[in-house]
Amino acid sequence: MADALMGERLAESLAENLARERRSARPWLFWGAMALLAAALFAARIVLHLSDPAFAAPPMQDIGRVILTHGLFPRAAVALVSGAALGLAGLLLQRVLRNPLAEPSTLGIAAGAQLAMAAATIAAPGLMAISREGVALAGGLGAAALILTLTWRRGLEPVSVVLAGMMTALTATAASTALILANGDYMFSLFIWGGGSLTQQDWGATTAIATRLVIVTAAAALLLRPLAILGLDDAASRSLGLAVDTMRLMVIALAVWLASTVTAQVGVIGFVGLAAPTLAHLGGARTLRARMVAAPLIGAILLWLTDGCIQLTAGSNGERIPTGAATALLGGPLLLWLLPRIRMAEWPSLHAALAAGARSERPWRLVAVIVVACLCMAAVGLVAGRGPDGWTIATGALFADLLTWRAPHMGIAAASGAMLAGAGMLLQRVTGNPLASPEILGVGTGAGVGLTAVLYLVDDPGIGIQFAASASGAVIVLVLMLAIAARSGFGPERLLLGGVAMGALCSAVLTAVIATGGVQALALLRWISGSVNMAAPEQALLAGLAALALLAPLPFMSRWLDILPLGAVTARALGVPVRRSHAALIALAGLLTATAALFVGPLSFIGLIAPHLARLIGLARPLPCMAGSVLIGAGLMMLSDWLSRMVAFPYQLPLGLFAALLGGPYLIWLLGRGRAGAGR
Amino acid sequence: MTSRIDSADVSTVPLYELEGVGFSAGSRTILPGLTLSIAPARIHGLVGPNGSGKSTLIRMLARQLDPTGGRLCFMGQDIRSWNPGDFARSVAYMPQFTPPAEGMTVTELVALGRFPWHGALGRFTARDRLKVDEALADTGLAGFRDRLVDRLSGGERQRVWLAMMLAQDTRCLLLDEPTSALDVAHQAEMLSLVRRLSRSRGLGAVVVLHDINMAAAICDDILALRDGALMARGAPEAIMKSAVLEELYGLRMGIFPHPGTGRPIAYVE
Amino acid sequence: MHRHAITRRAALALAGMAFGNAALARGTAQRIAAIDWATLETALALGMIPVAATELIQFRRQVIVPAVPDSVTDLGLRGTPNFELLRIVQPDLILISNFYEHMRPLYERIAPVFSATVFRHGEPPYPRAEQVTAALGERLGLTDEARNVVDGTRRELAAIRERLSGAERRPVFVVSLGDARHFRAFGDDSLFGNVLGMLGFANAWEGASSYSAAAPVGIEALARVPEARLVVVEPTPPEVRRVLATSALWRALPMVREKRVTFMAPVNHFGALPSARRFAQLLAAPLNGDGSVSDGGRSHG
Repeated sequence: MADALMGERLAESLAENLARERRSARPWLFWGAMALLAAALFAARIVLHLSDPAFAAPPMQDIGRVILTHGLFPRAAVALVSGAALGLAGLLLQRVLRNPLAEPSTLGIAAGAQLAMAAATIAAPGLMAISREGVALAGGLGAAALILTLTWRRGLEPVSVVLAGMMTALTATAASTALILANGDYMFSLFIWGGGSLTQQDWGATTAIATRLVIVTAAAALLLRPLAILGLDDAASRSLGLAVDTMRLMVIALAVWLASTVTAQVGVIGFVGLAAPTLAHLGGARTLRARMVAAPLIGAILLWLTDGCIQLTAGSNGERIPTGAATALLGGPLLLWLLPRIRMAEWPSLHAALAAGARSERPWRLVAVIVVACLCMAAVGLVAGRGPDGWTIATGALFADLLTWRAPHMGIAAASGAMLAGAGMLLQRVTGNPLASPEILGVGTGAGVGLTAVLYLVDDPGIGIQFAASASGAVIVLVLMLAIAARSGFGPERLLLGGVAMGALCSAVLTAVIATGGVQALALLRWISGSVNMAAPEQALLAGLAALALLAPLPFMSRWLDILPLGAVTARALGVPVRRSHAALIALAGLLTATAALFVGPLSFIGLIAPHLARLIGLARPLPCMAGSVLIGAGLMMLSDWLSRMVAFPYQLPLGLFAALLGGPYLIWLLGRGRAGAGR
Repeated sequence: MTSRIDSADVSTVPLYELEGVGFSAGSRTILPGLTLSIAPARIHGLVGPNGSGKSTLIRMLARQLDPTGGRLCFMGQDIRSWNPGDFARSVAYMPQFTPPAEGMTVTELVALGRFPWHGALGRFTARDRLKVDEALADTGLAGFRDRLVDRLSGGERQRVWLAMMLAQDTRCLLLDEPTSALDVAHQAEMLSLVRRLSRSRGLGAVVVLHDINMAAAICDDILALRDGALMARGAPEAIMKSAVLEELYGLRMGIFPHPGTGRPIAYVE
Repeated sequence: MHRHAITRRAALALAGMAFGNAALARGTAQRIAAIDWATLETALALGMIPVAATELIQFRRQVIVPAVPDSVTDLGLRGTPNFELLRIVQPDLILISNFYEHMRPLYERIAPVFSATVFRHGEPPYPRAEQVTAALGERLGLTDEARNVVDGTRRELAAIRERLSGAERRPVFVVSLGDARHFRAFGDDSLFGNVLGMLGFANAWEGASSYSAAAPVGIEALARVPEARLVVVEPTPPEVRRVLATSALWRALPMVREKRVTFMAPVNHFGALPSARRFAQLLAAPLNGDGSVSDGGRSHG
C-alpha cells in the first residue's frame, strides 16, 4: 500500500524531495535571519527617530520620547503580538477543523468582525465607544457560528467549511463596502486604513492582544494532547475517549476570541494566519508541540518584518499602504513560491464532494424553463421601475426613452453574468474542484491589477486598452495559478491555497492604490464596486458580442468537459490531450472572466453560484449544465441589476456588490441544506 | 501516424519491450533499470513488497509517467512517439484510485471509453453504441445502465471502470491494484472477470496485485519486483516456491497445495 | 424635449417648461439639476433652487449650510446618480464638475451640461470658486446675485481677517479624524487651506493634498509643528474621541497639552464660496483664542 501511495505521489514530490534533505537546519537559520532583518529595520527606525533634528531641542525632547515609548515601541510590540496571535489562531483552527485552509480570514471571522464594526460605527456609534472589542467579537463569533451551524451536519467537512467561510467573508466584505459607499466614498480610504494599520499611540492594543495571546497559549498548551488527537478523524478521536464536539467548539471559540481581538485593535491583517502555520509545517515542525511554538513565532516575525518594510518606505507625508494590505504583498508571493514544495500527504483530502441535486430526467426541459424565467426577468427589468411618485410601468414614449437607459444595464448584466457563469463552469470542470471559480482563484482581482497598471501608464485609456489590460491581468493570474496547481495534478488544496494567495496579493495591490487617493483610486473604486450605472449602449453591445463570441466555443468542448473532471490520469488514459485541452479551456475562462470583470468588477459570486445552481437543479451532463449555468448566470445578474436599482431607490447599489450580497447568503444557505431534498 | 500493426503481427510482436528503463525522482532512484518484455494476449501479474516499484512501472507502461532512462517500446515503437489518441485505442489503464464520477450514470461513464475513437468533436456512432453495450453485457452491468456511478458499491463501481476499459476496445489492459478496495468475494469476482475477458477477447493484461495467491490464481506470468529490479519471473508454479517468496518478501513463507485444486498457496510461517 | 406626458411629474415638468421657455429665450435655465456639491451650494447661494441634486441625505448632514428645501429630488450617490430618475425629472441644465467629466456624454443625453472646476491638484480653489460662481450666475441669468455672492464672501473674509489681526500667528493644522490613529490633512490646494491663507494664517501641513485631503497620516506627524494650532473638522466618530482622551501620544502633543485644539462643526470640504464663508466664520472664534478649546474633544464649536 505504501508503495502504491508513494507511486501516486512521486510526480508531486519531485521538487519537494530535494528540499527535504536539507530541511533540518535550514528553517532555523532562515527564520533567524528574517528575525534579525526585522530587528535591524526596527533599529534603523529607532536611530532615524533619535537623530531627527525636530526632536532634538529641549521642549521637543519630551514629545520625541513619547513618540518613541508610546509610538514606535508599541508598534513593534503590537506587530509581534498580532502576528503571533494570528499564527496561533490559524494553527488552532486548522488543527481542530482538520483543514489546511482554515484561518481567521478564510473563515470570515475577520470580515465578520469588520462588518460588525462598520455597522456599529454607522448605526450605533455609542456601542463602538463602549466596547469596540465586544462589537468585533460579536461579529467574529457570529461568522464562526454561522459557518459551524451550516456545515455541522456535514461533519465540518473541509470543502464545505472553507466554501461557507469564504462566502461569509466575501459577503461580509461586500456588505461593509456597501455600507461605506452609501455613507460617502470619502470614508473609504480612512476605513481601509482603519483596517490593517499598525500605527500605535500607547500600549493599549499591545496589552489587550498580549493578554489574550497568553491566555489562549496557556489553554492550548493544556489542550495539547486532545488537540493532537483531534487532528485524527472524529471516529478515532471518539474511540480515544475525547468529547470531540465540546473540545472543538472550545478551541474554535478561543481562536475566534484571539482573531477578533486583533481585528478590533489593528484591523484586518490578511494572510498571517494562513501563512504562519503553513510555513511552520514547511519548516519541518512535525509535531503539534513544535508547531505551536513555530507558528506564532513565524507569524510574529512575518508581521514585524512587513511592518518594518512599510515604515522604511514611508515618506514624510506618511506611509504608502496599510500594513494589513502589505502582509499579503509579502506573504502572497511567499506562499505561491512555496506551494509546489508543500508536502500535503498528511493533510486530509478536500476531495469530498458537494451535494448535487437529483439528476433531472429531462434536462432540456429544465433549460427551457430557465430561458422563460430569464425572459420574464428581462421584461420586468425593462418595464417596471420606480419614479419620484412610486412604482411605474413604463409605456409608450417614456418607455422608449427609458429603454435607452435600462437596456444597456440589462444587456451588460446579462452578458457579464453569462460569461462569469461560463468561466466558473469551465474552471470547476477542468479542475474537478467544486470551489474553483473566477472569483476565488483571484482571476477577477488579477484583471483589476491589469486595469490598475494601464490606468497609471496611459492617460484616459479607452475601453479597448482597458479590456486588453484587464484580460492580460486575468490570464496571467490564471496561468500562474494553474501552473502551480498542475504540478500536483490540480490538487484542490493547492489550487485553493494558491487562489487565496493570489487573490490576497492582487487585492493588496488594489487596496494600496485606493488608499493613496487620486484619480486612479476613484476609477478603481468604481470598478471594484462593479457599477454599471454609466453603461452606454455601445458598451452593452460590446459586452453582448464578447459574450457570444467567447461562449460560442463552449459546446464544442463538452466532451473534454465530460472527461476532465475525472482527473488528469483518466483523461490521459482516454487519450485526451491533457495539456492542450487545459490550456485552451483555461485561456477561454480567463478571457471570459476578464471581459465580465471589466464591466461588473471582481466581486460578484455569479461564477461560483451559477454552475452550482445548475448542478443542484439536476443538470449534470456537460451540455445542459453549460446551457443552464450560462442562463442562470445571465438571469441572476439581471435580477441583481434590477434589484440594485430598486431596493434603495433613488440610491443605486453597484451591480457587482449587490450580486455578491444576493448570491453569497444564498449559496451559504444552500450549503447548509445538505444532500437530502436538495434541488427540488 | 501508422502505428497500428496488422492483425497478423499481433500474436508475435511483444506488447512492451523495456531496455534498461529506469525512473528516479530527485536523488532517489525508484527503478534503476529494467529490461524485460511483455507478451500479448497473456495476463501478467506484477507483485512485490511495498516500495518495489510496481506502481511506478505500470504507470510508465500506461504513459502516465515518463521514464527517466532507458528505452520503452510499445508494439515495437518508442512509447513517447505514439500520439495520445492512437495510444488510447491500444492501451486502457485503470488507476489504483478511480475518481468518484459524480452525477454520471453507468452508461455515460462507460461511453467515455469511446472517446479515443470519436474524439472531441466526432459523432457517437452506432458502432460506438454497440461497443458500449457489449462492454456492459460482458461485465454483467446490463441491469445497471441508468444507475448513478457514485451510488454503486465498491465492487460494482470497479466493474463499471472495467467496462469503460473494454469499451475503449484496446489490445492491452493495465490495472493498478484493481482489488485494493474490495472485500475477498469481490476481489475474486473481479479478478476472474478480468481473466475471463482477457481470454475471450484475446487481450494482453498487466495487473498489479498485492496478494500473491490471487496473482498465482489468475496470471499466466508473474513478474516479481524487489527494490526496483526484476527478482524473479515465470509461471505461477515457478514463483510460488518458499525460497523465491522468502527472498521477495524477506519473510519465511511456506507453500501448501490447495485442498480442492492442488494449486500452490503461500502462507507466512 | 417635451415629448412625453406620461406621469404626473412629467406633466408638471411640462408646465415648468412653459415658464422655462421664456427663460430659455434669454439663454437661461430654470430647472437645474446639480450633480456636484460645489455647484449645488453655489446655485443655492444664488437663490436658484434646483429641481434635483445628489446625495442629499449626506449633504444635509455634512454641509448643513446652505439648507436644501424638501422639494429637491434626491438623485442618489454623486458617483452613481440615478440617470433614469434624472431623465424623468427632465431638467434643462445639469451642473457637474471636472470630477464628473467622464460622464458628460450621458448627461448630455438628458440636458445641456454646465461644468465647473473648483478643485484641481496643486491649485488654490478659492479663485476658481469665484469664477464658477460668476459663470453659473451668467448662465442662469443671475449675474447680479453672483456678483453679490462673490463680493459678499470676499468682504466677509476680509472682515474676519481684520478681526483676527490681533490673534496669535500660529500655523494651523486643519484635519479630519477617521480613526484615533490617523488624520487627513487639508493642504494649501484644499478649500480650507486656501481660506486659512486668506485669513493670514500659515498652513502647518506643508504637503500637497490629493483631491481634497492627503492620504491618512499617523497622529504623531502633528508633533512636527509643535507650535501649531489644530482644527479638527467634524464629524469625528464618538469612539475616536473616547480613545483620544486616554491616548498618551495624543495628550503629549504640544497643541493638546497647551489646549490649542478645536473641534469644528462639519463643513463641505468639496464646497465653493458658501463653504468657504462658513469655514471662515467657524474658524474665527478659535483662532481668536476664544473658541471652545478641548483636550480630548469632549465639546465642539
